[in-house]
Amino acid sequence: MKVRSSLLRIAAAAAVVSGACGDALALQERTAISAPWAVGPDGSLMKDVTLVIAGGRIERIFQGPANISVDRTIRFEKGVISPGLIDVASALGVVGDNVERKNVLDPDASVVEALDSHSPLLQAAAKAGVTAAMIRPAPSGVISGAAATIRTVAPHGVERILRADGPLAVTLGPGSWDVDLGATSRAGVLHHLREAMRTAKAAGGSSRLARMVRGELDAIVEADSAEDVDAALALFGQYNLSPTIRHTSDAVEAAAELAENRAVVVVGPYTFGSDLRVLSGPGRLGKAGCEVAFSGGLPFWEADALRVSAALAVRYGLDPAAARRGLTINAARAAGLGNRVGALTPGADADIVIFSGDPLRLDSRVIEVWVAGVRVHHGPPEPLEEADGWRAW
Amino acid sequence: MYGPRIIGRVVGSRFGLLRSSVLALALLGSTAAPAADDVLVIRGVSIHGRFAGGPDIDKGIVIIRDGRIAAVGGMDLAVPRDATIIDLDGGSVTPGLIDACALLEPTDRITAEARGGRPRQPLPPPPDFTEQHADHDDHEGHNHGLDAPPDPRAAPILTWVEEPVEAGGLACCALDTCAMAAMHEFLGEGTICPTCGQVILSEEEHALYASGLAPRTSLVESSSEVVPHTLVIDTINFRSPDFDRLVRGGVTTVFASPDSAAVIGPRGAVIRTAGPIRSRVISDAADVTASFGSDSFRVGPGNQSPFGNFVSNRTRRPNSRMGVAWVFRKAFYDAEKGLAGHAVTGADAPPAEAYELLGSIRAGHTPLRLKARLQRDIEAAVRLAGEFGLSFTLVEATEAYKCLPTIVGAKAPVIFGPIYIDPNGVRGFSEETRESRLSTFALLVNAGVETALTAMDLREEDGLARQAMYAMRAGVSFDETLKAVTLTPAKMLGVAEQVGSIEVGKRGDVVVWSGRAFEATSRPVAVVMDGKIVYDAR
Amino acid sequence: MKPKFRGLLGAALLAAGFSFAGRQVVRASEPPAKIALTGARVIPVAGEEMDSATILIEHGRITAVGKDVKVPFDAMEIDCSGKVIMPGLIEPQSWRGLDVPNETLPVAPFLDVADAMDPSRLYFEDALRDGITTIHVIQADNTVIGGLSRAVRSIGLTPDEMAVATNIALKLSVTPRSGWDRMQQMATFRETFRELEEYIGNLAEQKYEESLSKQNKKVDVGPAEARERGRKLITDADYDDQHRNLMRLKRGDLIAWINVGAAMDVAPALKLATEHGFFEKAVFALGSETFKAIGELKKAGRPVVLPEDLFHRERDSVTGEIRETFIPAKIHEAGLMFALQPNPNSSMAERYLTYQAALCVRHGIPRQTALEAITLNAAKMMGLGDRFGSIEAGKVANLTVYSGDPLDFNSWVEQVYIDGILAYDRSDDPRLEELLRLEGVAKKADEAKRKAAEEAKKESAPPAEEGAKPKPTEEAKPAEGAPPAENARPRRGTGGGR
Repeated sequence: MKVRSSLLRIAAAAAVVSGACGDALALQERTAISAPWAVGPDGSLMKDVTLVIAGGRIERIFQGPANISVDRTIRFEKGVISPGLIDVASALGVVGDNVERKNVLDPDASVVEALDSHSPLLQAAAKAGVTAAMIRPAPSGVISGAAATIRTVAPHGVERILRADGPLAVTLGPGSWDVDLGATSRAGVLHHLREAMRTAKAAGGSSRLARMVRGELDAIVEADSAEDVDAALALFGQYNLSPTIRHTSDAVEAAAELAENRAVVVVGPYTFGSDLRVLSGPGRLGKAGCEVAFSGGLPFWEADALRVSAALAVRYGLDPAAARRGLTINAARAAGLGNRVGALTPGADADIVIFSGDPLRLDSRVIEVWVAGVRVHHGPPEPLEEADGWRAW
Repeated sequence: MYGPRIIGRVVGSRFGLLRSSVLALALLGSTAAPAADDVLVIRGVSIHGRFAGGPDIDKGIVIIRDGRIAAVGGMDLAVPRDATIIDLDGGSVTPGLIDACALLEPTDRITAEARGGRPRQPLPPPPDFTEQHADHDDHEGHNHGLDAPPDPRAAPILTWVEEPVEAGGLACCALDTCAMAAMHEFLGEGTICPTCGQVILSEEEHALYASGLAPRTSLVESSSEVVPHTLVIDTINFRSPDFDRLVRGGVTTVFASPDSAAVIGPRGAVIRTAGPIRSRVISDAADVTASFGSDSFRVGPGNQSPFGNFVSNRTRRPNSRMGVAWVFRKAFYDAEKGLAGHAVTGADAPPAEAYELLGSIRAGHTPLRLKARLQRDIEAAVRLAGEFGLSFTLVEATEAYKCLPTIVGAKAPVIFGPIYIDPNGVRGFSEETRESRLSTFALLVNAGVETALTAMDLREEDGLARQAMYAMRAGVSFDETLKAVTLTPAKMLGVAEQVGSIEVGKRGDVVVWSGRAFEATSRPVAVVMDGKIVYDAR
Repeated sequence: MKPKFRGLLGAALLAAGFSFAGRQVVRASEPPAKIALTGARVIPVAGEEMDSATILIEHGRITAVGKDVKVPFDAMEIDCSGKVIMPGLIEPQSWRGLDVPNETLPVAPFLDVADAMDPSRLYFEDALRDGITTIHVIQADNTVIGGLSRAVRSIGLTPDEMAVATNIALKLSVTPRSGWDRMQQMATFRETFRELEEYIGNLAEQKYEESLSKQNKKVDVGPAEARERGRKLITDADYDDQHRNLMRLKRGDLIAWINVGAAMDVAPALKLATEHGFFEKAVFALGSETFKAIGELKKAGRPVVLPEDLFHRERDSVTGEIRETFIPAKIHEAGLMFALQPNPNSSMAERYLTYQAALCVRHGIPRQTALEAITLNAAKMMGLGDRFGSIEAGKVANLTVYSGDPLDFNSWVEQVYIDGILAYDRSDDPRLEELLRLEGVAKKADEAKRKAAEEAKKESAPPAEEGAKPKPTEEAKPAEGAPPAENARPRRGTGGGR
């Protein structure tokens, strides 16, 4: 809990700073967007929704006929307004440059320093409706640095980096084992992490680890199997922390413990070839009371993999509303930006996507993408470059 | 700080809470304990293993109330109303079995796929990075992995690089970790890879090992040969089917032992085999196990001699029995120096984290186990322990029959097992198993050595109950045998106050057998832990 | 290493071995005329178990069994009270006595296992020690049509001396031999039997021509009719080696011992047996997963030999759970007659047929069925049910004497009688003694303990536990009987619950 409230403050401060240097003209225009459907904050579909955007943010949201004065009105005869999708634990824009193979504990590395904003992969993701990504340093050792959250598309005047400092990326399980780094087993890895947290707690100060232990910096823990989940929850529990857990397959066995942890569980990516047991994981987590967010494995997987993962999770038992939350608000919460992006609520950034249908349906395509109140992409057949305000690259 | 920590039942939702809690908690019922009126009655059975509580009863009743044994007696014992009743004429009851040195399924190197479900189909690689991942099935470019430096883009954020790779009908747990993985196919089945030290297996065998039916991969930290500061509890998968198998075999409490891949290995844990996951740990940091013999340089990733100028973390001692003794001796010597504030030097110096614990072992605060199979290894263990004045428990002791006087003279208790004649399965891979004898355990018992019996990695049909059966075949009496799998190990683990016999006040851990226990024609029909039926095959 | 046969052979048998000459099938030895085993609990397998019964053996045959059998005045009486006597166990199939278990030719019905048998194999000695008196020696599974099998005693110096019956069965394998696929396997069967028909046709035609030419007549009918008429003229001597045994198989003179290693092989095996007329003589040797075709096996109703490992373990491909099936339970449920094999790959217990039977009892199969599965059933499958497999008047005196109940793992095989001759005695088994040698080492340990105790005294340390223990009063002799039970072992103070 402490973690989250402190993050809100950090995020809010960042938002104020960014607003000051934004493109005033484009962002100040008051726009109303209406569509027959929209994804509500709880993930359910709301009917006949009008969204008022001003200053790059969502000002109001109505259901039913709206009678307000705006600078322009855009009406979609069909389609669903959704918050921009967010890929968690992504490698968008940082491929090939985000592994520091030096220490078993590298809390001071920052993945944002490896970001290539010109990567065409970001553009591909944006086209698929992914407006933001929580990028994380590739696992190397137990703590591989701070993750960051970026926009996949940032028109002039719109900030690219939503959050540069955190959460801290922790890896348990085989991904963190390296004989040269000094740990080759679960016992070795946990010894290092346990000692590091103990030392950081004792030493205090403003190091990232000390902040994490005090609850001022959140953590995302890669734990592929149930015993890693157990170990993570037990260890972080000693400091009354609730880390976000990311898992891909086996960790669902620890669903009850994950639910008790009350933090978002990041799952995916999935394909049709995934194991049935694995595919049914999100459904089982949902039933146990967990909130899930999806990782689409971008950019190694097709940009649509994020939506495909969610759709498969629904097919194998996850509640559709929970799946939509997983693509949007839960992902934002995992990134520590739950008040800023990921939901169509007044005050949030106007990062929205208009799909031709339910985002969970595979035949739905992206019609338009808006970022901070600026339309950045018209769906096919129109070429991307002709979209309004498109000046990012 | 480094003494055996008895932390009892976990009461809170976190291990953390638990660790700060003290011994007092251990004796209280846990939150998972049955409700106040929860009574289980086992009726009509012969009752064995009362030990201090009285003689065996031919036909009697055991009453377990609130998770504790409340009464034991003949058929005239008053049975409370509303009790759950197990009626079993001709059956018998023994205390829950205790394995003092269980090697639990090491899940470390086994991926989720290997533990369950079919191997996933290879995931579609992204168009840009196809070359990076094609080498698994690229037969022509098989040396790809040898000269190409690891591409950071292939870091494990890609879920598919972690999966077990199957090439040419061969599979191996080490394929994702071994630098020479591509060579495995060419080395052929049954050979040992010189790089990773893994035995290369056929797919069927791999499935067998991966299933935990025959564990052999190492779970011990291998960045150093001296790792007593690490904990086995960290590697334990409490959801492992291995625990189910233990329960089905009547085993209710185990010492989770590390394997013998390190000279001075991690600290084991005393855990229960069933119950709510967070209430299973009795002690999270128990004995340290040191290993004599060839295991410490053969098991796990293995140590290599330097190849030309190629020196790595693996090119280290020991490579021989001399090396094992050297590393063991140097560890204690260096720890003494290090604790006294002197500089510690040399290539095989133990990590600084280990000093305090090594000192604690020497001071006798942390119990030590020495694992040795061959006669010469047993003798070396006794000699080295004598050098530093260490008291210890001898483990495995396959050739104990050759050096009984040494063992008796050392006054060391022994955790013996498993009993076998021909080493089969995983035991066949070691040259230290050739001269096992059926009668060794009987000899140890007859010589008055305090001996517990262990099944180590063997389960179910082959498990601890069968070890007891073998012991009896070699002539040990039923009572002595039963003691060797219940009360003796309980004492060795320091939990004899709680478990190990059917006595009023102890935990309600009993095994109900269809006939007389340890007989070929009888099997556990119900296993009761803390008064709850955790396995029921009536 | 001690001579292999020491402790295994009675003197009479050795004498017989030396007097053996020429290629004639001899009895292992001339047994004592009359023996009476008295006082033992007898498990005849056929019929009720009897306490303190007498078995009368005359010239190697059982002539009477029962509680009130009078011991004739001229019989050698052996007191077996406290022991349990079973019929000698029968191993339903084994190739462990062969130096090479398979011929490389896929179709080799002309072979006889006698040519590959090695009587000096440790296997035979082990079999005897474990109470097995009769072994069906047969070729292994890596074949299409293999050679002739024979039933042997587990003792003897040559294959012929060991034999109790020759030409028992022909080995067939529906499961493909290594490197082959099922299509090739079945095509080879078809080709073999088609070729057999053709060969017989030609032979018949030739015989008919010959018979006519003896009468100076010319062939006066078409080839089809000539073949038909000639068939009756063929005698067994006319067949060549390749075809003689195949013909005997088709005629029903040989048992078809069919290896069906997988469930999918059952249907083709039944079809093959039905088409070529040996269904009524078929015995199916099952693989681990063959029980899945239990419906077809039940319909066929033929006897089956179970795999060595009685458990089938398999991982569910979806849930990942390991499913374990106890095969005999399935077979017993289907009402099929089955025989058990020892499992040489096990760590220890499953190497004993009696333990395999105990496993069956443990999993709910009636004791009688389990006992039949290690004795009588195998004899019946080989067509020797009238001579072996139970303790009944008229049967061969192959007996195993146990120290206790055979299904109790604490029991040991004390003696084995083959043809009424003492073939094995545990008190004279050097190998077992080596394995269980307790005396010598125990003495040394006692000395060491005494020394340690003395030292402890010398050091004037507080009296250690050892000092408090009572001194052993006599030497333990556990190697003699099974449990050294209440020997002079010092008791530790902790127990007391006896």
